[in-house]
Amino acid sequence: MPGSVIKVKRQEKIGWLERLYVPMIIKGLFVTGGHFFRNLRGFVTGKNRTDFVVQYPEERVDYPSAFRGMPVLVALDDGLPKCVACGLCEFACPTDCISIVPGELEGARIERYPEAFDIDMSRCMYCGLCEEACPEEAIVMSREVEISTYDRQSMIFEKENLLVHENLLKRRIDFIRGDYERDREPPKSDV
Amino acid sequence: MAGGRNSLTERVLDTPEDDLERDLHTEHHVLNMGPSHPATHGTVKFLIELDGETIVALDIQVGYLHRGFEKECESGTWYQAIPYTDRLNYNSAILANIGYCMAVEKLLEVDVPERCLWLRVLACELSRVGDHLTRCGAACLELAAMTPFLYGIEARELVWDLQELLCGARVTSNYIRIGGVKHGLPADFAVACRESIAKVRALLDDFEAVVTSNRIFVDRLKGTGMLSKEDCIRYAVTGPLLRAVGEPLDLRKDQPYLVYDEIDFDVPIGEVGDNYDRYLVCMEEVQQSLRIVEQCLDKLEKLGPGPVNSEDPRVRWPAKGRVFNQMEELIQQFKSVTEGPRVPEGEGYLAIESANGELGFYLVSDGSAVPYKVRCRPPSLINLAPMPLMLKGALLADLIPTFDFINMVGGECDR
Repeated sequence: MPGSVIKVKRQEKIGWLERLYVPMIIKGLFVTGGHFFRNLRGFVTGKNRTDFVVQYPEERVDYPSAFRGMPVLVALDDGLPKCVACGLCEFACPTDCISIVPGELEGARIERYPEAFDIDMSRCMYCGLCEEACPEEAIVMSREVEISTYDRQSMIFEKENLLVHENLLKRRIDFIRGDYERDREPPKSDV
Repeated sequence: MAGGRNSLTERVLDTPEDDLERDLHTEHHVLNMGPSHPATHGTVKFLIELDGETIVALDIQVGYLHRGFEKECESGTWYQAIPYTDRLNYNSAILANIGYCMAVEKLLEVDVPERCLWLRVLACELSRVGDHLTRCGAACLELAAMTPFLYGIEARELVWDLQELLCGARVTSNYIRIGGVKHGLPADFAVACRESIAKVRALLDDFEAVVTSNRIFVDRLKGTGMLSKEDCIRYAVTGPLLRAVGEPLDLRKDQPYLVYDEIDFDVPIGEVGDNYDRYLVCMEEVQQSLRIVEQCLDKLEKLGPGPVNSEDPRVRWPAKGRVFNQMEELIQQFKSVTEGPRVPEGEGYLAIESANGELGFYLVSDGSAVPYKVRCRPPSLINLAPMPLMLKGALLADLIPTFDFINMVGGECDR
């Protein structure tokens, strides 16, 4: 097996420079000063910014595609949910925060639909298992995380509050689709 | 001894000599530290008996963050326990994910593809870097060194951004699955990762320049919180605490899991086992972990695209592409979500090297789709146990660095 056991370098004796405190303070100031001027340059010129702070909420960072925010329902062009109320997300959810009442529409293109679809966001832990279980791509994790409220009752999101049009969720849906063939051997031309 | 002696001087002068030599009547002072104390990150209460500033006895009271993790896991399917393992050690969630999933895989006797193994090691080591940086950074902060804390946390933030890119969340990653991982490596990950590693290395240099040979910092750490090798073994202490006394036990080397036997990395050990050694061991482990991450990236590039999940549909939920187009896979999806994998009857223990030490999962299955027993061996709790021994006769101020380098994490310790 490569690699070995190494002993850490322990400074048993501190040199007189270090013992005097002052030279070490100056050394420390060099390090912090370096950071300060680098940050200042970036702050003033606006280029190659090295400071880490984002002026939230005016400035926001762009979350990566894999980011999981609160789960939402995908709405089709006619405003109806893509969901067919099969209840798989209800089963997959570890915290039982989803509750669905299925209904049927006679003669519609998609006959089954959720009459009620509630998610208790105060219990949801954004794990994404509902999205992974859904066989219709109807519930996806959005990029929305700012959902704090003053009371618990308003943490229960009903169907109307959860519906988001497909086009607004394009980035997430594309991300999920990238994973469609994950357990297949890739075509030989890719290698 | 008649009256008229009311001035203090007279009375003292009059006292017999042996009386003067007798100690003042004093009692030990009992101090409650915590459960919410700014210098102890995490909810833990210390009951400290003090003689002046010297610690005579120390009682640690844990359990403030008890959420019933083990019972909670037994209430759902094997799959549904994975998000809960994120909440054990919230500094390195992926390590707990991997520990649990590998334990279930051991019971199921399934193998995962090679690409998945390397991905797991990659995620694992990123997690470890984040954990050690939090430990060292927070220790500096609590010893009143704010600057290195900011550098450490900035480096950790870079690592957690990588985790977000890979898993979808900074802290509660929920990335590992039984029989695989949630999804493969994002296309832009390798480039971002190499960039961040370079930045983390630069920040680590600054971090070390400010504290490693700084006398104020070194004086607080050297010779404090000592624990002998015998006591370490007696208390089953693992992780950086054990390696700091010079015992090179690292499960990645001694019981190689995943693909650690193919990776080139060193195990740092200390000499005497005080807080300074623990600090040096942690900092060196960060460097080694970054080395491992780079090797993983190289290897993943060499392996090329490929499956990252087990082929067995009983274990891993089928890929969506098949679920949408094939009836059998759709039925399989319904079956595996509503019921989940049925783990054969039996029991098993699997331990991995987490950032704090040996993190083990002892699982018992009665053959159903719900775990019969999920027992977690939390390194935090076991490493915390010899803390009174480390601090006997020490000053109260030594408690802070000692507790910091034990790195007790409430979520993992109290479960």
